[in-house]
Amino acid sequence: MSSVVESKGVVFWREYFPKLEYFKPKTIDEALDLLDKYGRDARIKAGATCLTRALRARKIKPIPKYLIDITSIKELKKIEYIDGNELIIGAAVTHEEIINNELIKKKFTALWEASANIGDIETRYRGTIGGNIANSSAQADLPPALMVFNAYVTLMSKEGSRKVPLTKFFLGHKKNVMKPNELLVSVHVPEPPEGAKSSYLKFKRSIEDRALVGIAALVAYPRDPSKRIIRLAYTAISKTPFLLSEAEELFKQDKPLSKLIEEAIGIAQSKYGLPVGERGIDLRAPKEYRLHLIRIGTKAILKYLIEGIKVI
Amino acid sequence: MVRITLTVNGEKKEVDVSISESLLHVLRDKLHLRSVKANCYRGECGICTVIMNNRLVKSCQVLAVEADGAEIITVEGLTRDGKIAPIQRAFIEKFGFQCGFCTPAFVLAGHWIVNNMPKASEDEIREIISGIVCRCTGYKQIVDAIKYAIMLAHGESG
Repeated sequence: MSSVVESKGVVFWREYFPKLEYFKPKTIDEALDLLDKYGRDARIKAGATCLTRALRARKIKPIPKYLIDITSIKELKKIEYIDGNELIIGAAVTHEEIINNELIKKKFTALWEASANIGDIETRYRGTIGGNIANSSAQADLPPALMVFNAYVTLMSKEGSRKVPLTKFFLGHKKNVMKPNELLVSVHVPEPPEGAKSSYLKFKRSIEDRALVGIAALVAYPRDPSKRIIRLAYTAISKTPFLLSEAEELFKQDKPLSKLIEEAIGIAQSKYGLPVGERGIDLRAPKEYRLHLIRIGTKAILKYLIEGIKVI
Repeated sequence: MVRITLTVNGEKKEVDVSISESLLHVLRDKLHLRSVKANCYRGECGICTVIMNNRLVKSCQVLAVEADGAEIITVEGLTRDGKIAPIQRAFIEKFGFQCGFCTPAFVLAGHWIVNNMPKASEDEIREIISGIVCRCTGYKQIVDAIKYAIMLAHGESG
């Protein structure tokens, strides 16, 4: 069997994880105690679909010494819907649990479609919503789908809890506002506006691939400029997934929709800024192609939500 | 070192593991189940797929300690009383392999489909095996074999 290989600062792939201590707390309080005690030396483990590879590659610096497995915390496994108010999803809820939830499919379609588009069946079985967000990849599927609902997350630490809108959560590829002693506890998705429909469109090379470009949209009353709400969010074209905040104002204008869509596409394209040289990110598709996908994708998803015609 | 208990192919096993080991390592190197192949260690190729608690998982992504108490099925566990499972018969008859390296993973995925989705369509089968990579043959024969296995196990109507 292969074993540890390291020479002249070049790190090759390794079979073993680094030397770790493993904790499996049963309550949020226990987890927070551990996080407070070990801080930057600790790492939260949920589905571990991304963490295991990062640990093997010794990519996380400083290399974690403690692993806190939150998958046994019952409070983090709950999906709760407060009628007419909001949907609360625990951080350790898996993609598969989201896909199996009929209410999410009906009311929060973009989130459902984004979850159904993640990886393969093995990944969806283990991967969690909290992990997808906290991992903060520039190509994450769930953040844009959540952003169109103006979702926010609750972060907890020993000192208390705070709520952070997803649009303010990400700072860069794999960077976010969480402090070392904080735990992402739940994701809150406010009730969509009346009459709203949402969808998520993901371009990928093969069925289990990451996004080349991912577009989430929410549309309500498209024909009536005064009541019209159109929100667009994107992933895999900038350092972080983002909500096109200018779009909502833009679409309120009393101009032909096709003109407004062109303008929105222009703004989205101007946000291009994938971290260059990040292996596997800009490698999947060149800039020109991604810009092209933004154009046809935005048009297609809005055509689908406004006219009900699926073109892609 | 931590002692964990695994039910592997119906047999209870106690194994001493370190936190740095994955389930893949325990199955392959400590329990000597060589049908579980090690390849990419990144969860990309799916070659190390096993059935854990009646679900398909990539064993390289599962920490050994996490699997404590779990029920694991590998290809070694498909044969009962000297008789091979329908999925194995189907792979032989439909030539569902070439070099054989990815075969254990596909056989297990197929076995899972036969047991859990007896009405699976071709698209559904292709979607479920999408996480496993075969670099020899393409997937036609593999999909054919899984469809044939469903027929063997559940009859023509299944």
